[in-house]
Amino acid sequence: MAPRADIARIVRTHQAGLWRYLRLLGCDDALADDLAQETFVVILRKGFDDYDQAATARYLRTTARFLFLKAKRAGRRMVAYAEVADLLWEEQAARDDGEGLVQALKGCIDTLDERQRRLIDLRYFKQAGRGEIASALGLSVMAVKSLLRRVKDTLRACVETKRRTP
Amino acid sequence: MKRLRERAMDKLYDVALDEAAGGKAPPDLVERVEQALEENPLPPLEDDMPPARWWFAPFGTAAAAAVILLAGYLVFTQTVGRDVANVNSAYSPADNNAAPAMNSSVTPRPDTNYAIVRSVSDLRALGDDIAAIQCDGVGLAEVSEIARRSFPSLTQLHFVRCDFDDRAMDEIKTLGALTQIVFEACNAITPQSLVKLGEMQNLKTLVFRRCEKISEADVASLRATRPDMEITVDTDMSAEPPERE
Repeated sequence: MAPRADIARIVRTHQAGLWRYLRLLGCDDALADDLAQETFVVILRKGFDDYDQAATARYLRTTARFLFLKAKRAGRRMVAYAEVADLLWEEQAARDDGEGLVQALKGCIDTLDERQRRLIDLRYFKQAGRGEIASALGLSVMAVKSLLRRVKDTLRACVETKRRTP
Repeated sequence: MKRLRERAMDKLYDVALDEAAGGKAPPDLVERVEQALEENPLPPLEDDMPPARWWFAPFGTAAAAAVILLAGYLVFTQTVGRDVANVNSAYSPADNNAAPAMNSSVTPRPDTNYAIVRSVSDLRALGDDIAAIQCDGVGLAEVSEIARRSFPSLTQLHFVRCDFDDRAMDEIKTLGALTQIVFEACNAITPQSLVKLGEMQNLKTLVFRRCEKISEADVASLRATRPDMEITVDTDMSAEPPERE
């Protein structure tokens, strides 16, 4: 097993990316916490060569995906989704553990208008449901759904523009 | 595939937005991991043995001598053909007890039914109740060991960076209870292996990820013959980047 200092370093280096990855697979917060912990425990007990950060991150993700599919007793659909999600993570987030996307979104949220920012605050900060958001904004539930879709499209376009321009 | 990708993209943005808006953030797991490792350590097998006591040494020597004498006696009696029946009746109970004792010393915790293995010795340490195995960097020897053990509860196999070729499929084919196999970065596997995998009637999910010699076109005929089987092929991203939004 790795020395204590190494354990702390490995966990600190990879925990954010692994947790985000598990949430992408479909874990809620609590399950993502538990499975991220279990993933570290499994590979640290097993022992491995931490010779390359990207290789270690990939090994952690493979193990985490395996544990997730086991925990969920995943059927074919979930396995297929996990495979696609893994490819997407490699393409969009693996190089910086998803930190770049989070930071880009922070910048993009600032460019939204007042009502759109309020919507993001209610949905993603206060974790309000569509019904609560509808009554807070004075809209119908369907209008909230549609507004949310539009705001997310705007944010995605903003992030992609930011990524294209260094 | 495109719909799944869109769903994943949506989820990725939801996860990032949760964090960007300040709603949820990754936890600090250092203490939890350290505590879990301390509470339930899994030391190497040799560390499981209690430390020898100095006063035990003479008894240990005597016991070892007795075992050697007994083994010599058994060999002698079998060789010269004397007291065969007596030898068998004396030998069998010990022999029958040996297997469970050996298994119990190396079987993983009973609440786990999955394992990550890298070698034959890892596989030998597994109990018969194992349901899923992730094999990292294993070769034909490990596959043969899995087939030899024919774990009755084993339904899922996940090979990562495997070091075997199509010959391993003859062994894998014998594991009739398997419902799901994932090959990841297994570059020696060729489309020839698909025929044998197609013969596994219980196999419902087959995934090839970044296996250099397996492409979508290669699995077309297997899809036709086995419509009940979900087959996923993810080709190497450097060779074929995923489609853009």
